Amino acid sequence: MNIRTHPTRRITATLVVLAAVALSGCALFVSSYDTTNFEKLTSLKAYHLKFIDDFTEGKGKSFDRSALDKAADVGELKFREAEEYAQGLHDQTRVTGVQNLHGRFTAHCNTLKRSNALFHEEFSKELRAEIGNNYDEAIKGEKVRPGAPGS
Amino acid sequence: MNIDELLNSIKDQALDSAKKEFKDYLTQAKNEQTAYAKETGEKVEKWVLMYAQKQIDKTELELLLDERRWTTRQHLNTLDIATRSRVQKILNGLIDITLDALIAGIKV
Repeated sequence: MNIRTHPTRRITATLVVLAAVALSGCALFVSSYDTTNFEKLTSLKAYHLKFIDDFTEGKGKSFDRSALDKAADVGELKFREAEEYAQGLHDQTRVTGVQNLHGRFTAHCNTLKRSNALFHEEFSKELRAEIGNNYDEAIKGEKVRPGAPGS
Repeated sequence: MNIDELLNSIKDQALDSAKKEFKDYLTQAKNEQTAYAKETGEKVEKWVLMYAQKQIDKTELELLLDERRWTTRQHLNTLDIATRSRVQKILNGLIDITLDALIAGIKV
Protein backbone atom coordinates (compact mmCIF):
# COMPACT_ATOMS: atom_id res chain seq x y z
CA MET A 1 0.00 0.00 0.00
CA ASN A 2 1.49 3.36 -1.04
CA ILE A 3 1.54 6.07 1.62
CA ARG A 4 1.25 8.72 -1.13
CA THR A 5 -1.99 7.34 -2.44
CA HIS A 6 -3.70 5.82 0.60
CA PRO A 7 -5.79 8.64 2.18
CA THR A 8 -5.71 7.45 5.80
CA ARG A 9 -1.97 6.95 5.80
CA ARG A 10 -1.43 10.25 4.03
CA ILE A 11 -3.42 12.07 6.74
CA THR A 12 -1.60 10.18 9.47
CA ALA A 13 1.80 10.98 7.99
CA THR A 14 0.89 14.66 7.71
CA LEU A 15 -0.27 14.76 11.33
CA VAL A 16 2.84 12.96 12.54
CA VAL A 17 4.99 15.55 10.77
CA LEU A 18 2.90 18.35 12.33
CA ALA A 19 3.23 16.77 15.76
CA ALA A 20 6.98 16.41 15.30
CA VAL A 21 7.28 20.08 14.37
CA ALA A 22 5.07 21.03 17.29
CA LEU A 23 7.12 19.10 19.78
CA SER A 24 10.54 19.99 18.40
CA GLY A 25 12.49 22.98 19.67
CA CYS A 26 10.59 25.31 17.37
CA ALA A 27 10.66 28.88 18.76
CA LEU A 28 6.87 28.99 18.90
CA PHE A 29 6.75 26.30 21.55
CA VAL A 30 7.74 26.43 25.19
CA SER A 31 9.11 23.57 27.26
CA SER A 32 6.89 21.83 29.78
CA TYR A 33 6.50 22.61 33.48
CA ASP A 34 9.53 21.61 35.51
CA THR A 35 9.10 20.90 39.24
CA THR A 36 12.78 21.44 40.03
CA ASN A 37 12.84 24.86 38.38
CA PHE A 38 9.69 25.83 40.28
CA GLU A 39 11.33 24.77 43.55
CA LYS A 40 14.54 26.64 42.72
CA LEU A 41 12.59 29.86 42.07
CA THR A 42 10.63 29.61 45.33
CA SER A 43 13.83 28.84 47.24
CA LEU A 44 15.62 31.83 45.64
CA LYS A 45 12.67 34.07 46.52
CA ALA A 46 12.84 33.04 50.18
CA TYR A 47 16.62 33.56 50.27
CA HIS A 48 16.46 36.98 48.56
CA LEU A 49 13.65 38.30 50.80
CA LYS A 50 15.49 37.15 53.93
CA PHE A 51 18.65 38.78 52.58
CA ILE A 52 16.79 42.11 52.31
CA ASP A 53 15.35 41.66 55.82
CA ASP A 54 18.80 40.87 57.24
CA PHE A 55 20.32 43.99 55.69
CA THR A 56 17.58 46.42 56.70
CA GLU A 57 17.88 48.87 59.61
CA GLY A 58 16.49 47.61 62.89
CA LYS A 59 16.95 47.79 66.62
CA GLY A 60 20.47 46.73 67.59
CA LYS A 61 21.53 46.12 63.99
CA SER A 62 24.61 47.55 62.31
CA PHE A 63 26.22 47.18 58.89
CA ASP A 64 28.50 44.14 58.80
CA ARG A 65 30.56 43.99 55.62
CA SER A 66 31.85 40.47 56.19
CA ALA A 67 28.30 39.18 56.78
CA LEU A 68 27.24 40.92 53.56
CA ASP A 69 30.11 39.38 51.58
CA LYS A 70 29.24 35.94 52.94
CA ALA A 71 25.51 36.28 52.16
CA ALA A 72 26.36 37.62 48.69
CA ASP A 73 28.65 34.63 48.00
CA VAL A 74 26.06 32.10 49.16
CA GLY A 75 23.41 33.82 47.00
CA GLU A 76 25.74 34.01 43.99
CA LEU A 77 26.24 30.24 44.11
CA LYS A 78 22.49 29.60 44.38
CA PHE A 79 21.78 31.82 41.37
CA ARG A 80 24.57 30.27 39.30
CA GLU A 81 23.20 26.81 40.05
CA ALA A 82 19.68 27.91 39.06
CA GLU A 83 20.98 29.48 35.84
CA GLU A 84 22.95 26.36 34.92
CA TYR A 85 19.89 24.23 35.58
CA ALA A 86 17.66 26.51 33.48
CA GLN A 87 20.16 26.44 30.61
CA GLY A 88 20.05 22.64 30.69
CA LEU A 89 16.32 22.74 29.97
CA HIS A 90 16.98 24.46 26.62
CA ASP A 91 14.33 27.15 26.78
CA GLN A 92 15.54 30.74 26.62
CA THR A 93 12.42 32.14 28.32
CA ARG A 94 13.32 30.18 31.47
CA VAL A 95 16.96 31.33 31.37
CA THR A 96 15.86 34.96 30.87
CA GLY A 97 13.67 34.74 33.97
CA VAL A 98 16.45 33.46 36.24
CA GLN A 99 19.04 35.87 34.80
CA ASN A 100 16.71 38.78 35.57
CA LEU A 101 16.47 37.71 39.24
CA HIS A 102 20.21 37.05 39.47
CA GLY A 103 20.85 40.57 38.17
CA ARG A 104 18.57 42.04 40.84
CA PHE A 105 20.32 40.14 43.62
CA THR A 106 23.72 41.34 42.38
CA ALA A 107 22.39 44.93 42.15
CA HIS A 108 21.08 44.79 45.72
CA CYS A 109 24.41 43.45 47.02
CA ASN A 110 26.28 46.19 45.15
CA THR A 111 23.98 48.92 46.49
CA LEU A 112 24.73 47.81 50.05
CA LYS A 113 28.47 47.54 49.35
CA ARG A 114 28.57 51.04 47.84
CA SER A 115 26.61 52.67 50.64
CA ASN A 116 28.29 50.76 53.49
CA ALA A 117 24.96 50.99 55.26
CA LEU A 118 21.83 48.94 55.84
CA PHE A 119 18.71 49.61 53.75
CA HIS A 120 16.38 52.24 55.25
CA GLU A 121 13.17 50.73 56.55
CA GLU A 122 10.74 52.61 54.26
CA PHE A 123 12.83 51.89 51.18
CA SER A 124 13.32 48.27 52.17
CA LYS A 125 9.56 47.75 52.53
CA GLU A 126 9.01 48.93 48.96
CA LEU A 127 12.02 47.03 47.60
CA ARG A 128 10.86 43.84 49.30
CA ALA A 129 7.39 44.13 47.78
CA GLU A 130 8.79 44.90 44.35
CA ILE A 131 11.33 42.07 44.20
CA GLY A 132 8.58 39.80 45.54
CA ASN A 133 6.49 40.79 42.49
CA ASN A 134 9.41 39.96 40.21
CA TYR A 135 9.72 36.46 41.73
CA ASP A 136 5.96 35.94 41.57
CA GLU A 137 6.06 36.76 37.86
CA ALA A 138 8.93 34.29 37.29
CA ILE A 139 7.12 31.59 39.29
CA LYS A 140 3.94 32.25 37.31
CA GLY A 141 6.06 31.82 34.16
CA GLU A 142 6.75 28.23 35.30
CA LYS A 143 3.19 27.54 36.40
CA VAL A 144 1.62 28.52 33.05
CA ARG A 145 3.69 25.98 31.12
CA PRO A 146 2.10 22.87 29.64
CA GLY A 147 1.91 20.05 32.14
CA ALA A 148 1.85 22.32 35.21
CA PRO A 149 -0.29 21.04 38.09
CA GLY A 150 -3.85 22.24 37.61
CA SER A 151 -3.29 23.36 34.02
CA MET B 1 -0.43 65.83 49.32
CA ASN B 2 -1.66 64.12 46.16
CA ILE B 3 0.08 63.87 42.80
CA ASP B 4 -1.78 66.85 41.27
CA GLU B 5 -0.85 69.07 44.20
CA LEU B 6 2.74 67.91 43.89
CA LEU B 7 2.86 68.65 40.15
CA ASN B 8 1.24 72.06 40.68
CA SER B 9 3.86 72.89 43.28
CA ILE B 10 6.60 72.58 40.62
CA LYS B 11 6.86 76.12 39.30
CA ASP B 12 9.83 75.71 36.96
CA GLN B 13 8.39 76.44 33.48
CA ALA B 14 11.15 74.41 31.84
CA LEU B 15 9.46 71.35 33.38
CA ASP B 16 5.94 72.12 32.09
CA SER B 17 6.27 69.68 29.21
CA ALA B 18 7.71 66.93 31.44
CA LYS B 19 4.90 67.45 33.98
CA LYS B 20 2.26 67.11 31.25
CA GLU B 21 3.96 64.04 29.78
CA PHE B 22 4.24 62.43 33.23
CA LYS B 23 0.53 63.07 33.92
CA ASP B 24 -0.45 61.68 30.50
CA TYR B 25 1.57 58.47 30.99
CA LEU B 26 0.30 58.06 34.55
CA THR B 27 -3.33 58.44 33.42
CA GLN B 28 -2.78 55.98 30.57
CA ALA B 29 -1.15 53.40 32.87
CA LYS B 30 -3.91 53.67 35.48
CA ASN B 31 -6.62 53.38 32.80
CA GLU B 32 -5.05 50.32 31.17
CA GLN B 33 -7.05 47.09 31.17
CA THR B 34 -4.26 45.01 32.68
CA ALA B 35 -3.82 44.89 36.43
CA TYR B 36 -0.05 45.08 35.99
CA ALA B 37 -0.15 48.42 34.16
CA LYS B 38 -2.53 49.90 36.74
CA GLU B 39 -0.34 48.65 39.57
CA THR B 40 2.74 50.20 37.91
CA GLY B 41 0.98 53.57 37.66
CA GLU B 42 -0.02 53.40 41.31
CA LYS B 43 3.47 52.37 42.43
CA VAL B 44 5.24 55.13 40.48
CA GLU B 45 2.79 57.69 41.90
CA LYS B 46 3.32 56.36 45.43
CA TRP B 47 7.12 56.41 45.16
CA VAL B 48 7.22 59.94 43.73
CA LEU B 49 5.03 61.11 46.62
CA MET B 50 7.25 59.26 49.12
CA TYR B 51 10.24 61.10 47.65
CA ALA B 52 8.45 64.45 47.84
CA GLN B 53 7.62 63.74 51.48
CA LYS B 54 11.25 62.73 52.18
CA GLN B 55 10.36 59.16 53.15
CA ILE B 56 12.92 57.95 50.58
CA ASP B 57 15.84 59.82 48.99
CA LYS B 58 16.63 60.39 45.30
CA THR B 59 18.90 57.34 45.01
CA GLU B 60 16.25 55.12 46.58
CA LEU B 61 13.57 56.48 44.24
CA GLU B 62 15.83 55.77 41.24
CA LEU B 63 16.51 52.23 42.54
CA LEU B 64 12.79 51.51 42.97
CA LEU B 65 11.96 52.79 39.48
CA ASP B 66 14.76 50.67 38.03
CA GLU B 67 13.46 47.71 40.03
CA ARG B 68 10.03 48.15 38.44
CA ARG B 69 11.62 48.21 34.98
CA TRP B 70 13.14 44.77 35.66
CA THR B 71 9.87 43.44 37.08
CA THR B 72 8.20 44.64 33.90
CA ARG B 73 10.71 42.68 31.81
CA GLN B 74 9.90 39.60 33.89
CA HIS B 75 6.18 40.26 33.44
CA LEU B 76 6.57 40.50 29.65
CA ASN B 77 8.63 37.29 29.59
CA THR B 78 5.87 35.53 31.55
CA LEU B 79 3.21 36.90 29.18
CA ASP B 80 5.23 35.49 26.28
CA ILE B 81 5.41 32.06 27.95
CA ALA B 82 1.69 32.11 28.80
CA THR B 83 0.64 33.08 25.28
CA ARG B 84 2.79 30.43 23.62
CA SER B 85 1.75 27.77 26.16
CA ARG B 86 -1.90 28.44 25.39
CA VAL B 87 -1.35 28.11 21.64
CA GLN B 88 0.77 25.00 22.20
CA LYS B 89 -1.94 23.34 24.32
CA ILE B 90 -4.59 24.02 21.64
CA LEU B 91 -2.44 22.79 18.73
CA ASN B 92 -1.16 19.70 20.55
CA GLY B 93 -4.69 18.91 21.71
CA LEU B 94 -5.98 19.19 18.16
CA ILE B 95 -3.24 16.95 16.77
CA ASP B 96 -3.57 14.39 19.60
CA ILE B 97 -7.34 14.04 19.31
CA THR B 98 -7.04 13.69 15.53
CA LEU B 99 -4.35 11.02 15.78
CA ASP B 100 -5.86 9.17 18.71
CA ALA B 101 -9.55 9.13 17.87
CA LEU B 102 -10.77 10.97 14.82
CA ILE B 103 -8.88 9.06 12.13
CA ALA B 104 -10.40 5.80 13.28
CA GLY B 105 -13.89 7.15 12.71
CA ILE B 106 -13.32 8.49 9.21
CA LYS B 107 -14.55 6.07 6.55
CA VAL B 108 -12.26 6.31 3.53
